[in-house]
Amino acid sequence: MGRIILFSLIGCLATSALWGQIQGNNRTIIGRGNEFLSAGAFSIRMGQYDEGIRLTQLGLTRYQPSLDDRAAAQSNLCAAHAARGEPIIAIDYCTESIRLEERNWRAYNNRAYAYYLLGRLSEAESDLAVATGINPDARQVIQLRGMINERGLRPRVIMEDHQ
Amino acid sequence: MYLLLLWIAPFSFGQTQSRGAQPILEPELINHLGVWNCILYGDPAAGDERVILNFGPDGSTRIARPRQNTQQPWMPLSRWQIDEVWLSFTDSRMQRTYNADLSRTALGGGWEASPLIGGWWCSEAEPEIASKALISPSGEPIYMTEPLIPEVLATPRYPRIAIREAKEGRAVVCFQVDSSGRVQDPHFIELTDRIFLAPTLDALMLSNYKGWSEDQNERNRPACRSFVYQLDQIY
Repeated sequence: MGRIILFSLIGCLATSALWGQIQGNNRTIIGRGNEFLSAGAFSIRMGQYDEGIRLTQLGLTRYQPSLDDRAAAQSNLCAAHAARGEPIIAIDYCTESIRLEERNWRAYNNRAYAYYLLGRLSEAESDLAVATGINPDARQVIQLRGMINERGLRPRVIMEDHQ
Repeated sequence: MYLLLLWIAPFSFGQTQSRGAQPILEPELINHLGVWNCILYGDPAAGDERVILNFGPDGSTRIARPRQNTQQPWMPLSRWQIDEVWLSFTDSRMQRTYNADLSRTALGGGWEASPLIGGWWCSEAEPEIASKALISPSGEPIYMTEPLIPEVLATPRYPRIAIREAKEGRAVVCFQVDSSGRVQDPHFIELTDRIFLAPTLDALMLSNYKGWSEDQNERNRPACRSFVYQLDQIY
């Protein structure tokens, strides 16, 4: 299950078009824009969290990323730290990402996962509700919803005979 | 809540024949005439009731409510009517309208007394009950007053996918219990989501009741069981 959510979270990485791809004249050029952020996102996606965090930090400090890119980068750092099992650090990054861009469903979803790891299901549920409100069909949102339900709902079956 | 009613009817060959040479078979209907041991359920005030219903060949319908050590006379209900496969009759005292799909393999169906709805379910009774319930001063046949005692009560597993999707629901199954206590011939009367079908059926068929006779020829008795699937939030 941990592996599944890890892949899911990595799928939650924000890959801004500005980092890696500039589309024009039907061409896709990889590497334009903030290459560090682009490479950082790729590394995290590949499961190389330390390298991904290092590159993303470089991308944030060496260049002057736009507000959207900074929000996405913070969300990626959040995902990487959560994937490394550091939910408290992850939450701070996600909170910063949300402060910069309050409609970033990935940041809400990542922070919900971090809360889930800490067993703070009520807060996880609250963040997930916001993510669902923004992007209800996202696979990652649905998957995390299932995990929270599985841990946070106690099933029971009441049987009654009629005779 | 969206309610799925499952009426499990015998397979009908009748309407699919396209060549004139082949016979068109009508769906086989239950012969409802006679005396039936029945359960009426779904009324929160009255609870589950065990009654005897008698459908006469003259169109009459009678009901008797057996209670221990008291004579219970037959009470007349409306005349029964059949419209295609649907049997219907009414109880004016209770303001209930009963109906049943006779193409099913067991006699039973629903009742309605706005805003209440419920169900009923029967198994065939000995014909002599018809006269006993009418004239016997000592009351009713003993097996009508002794409740079925569950011997093995299997609990369904809550489907994991239903927990993940936070699905709650309800199933009502009616069935026959043979004299050795085994469950037979289950019919789903109500099922809110098909996800609960398999666990309900598995649990029911693993359950059994205390037998009341070793005589294989003893009549089966009707019973129903409801399963309410609930999820409690624990945070």
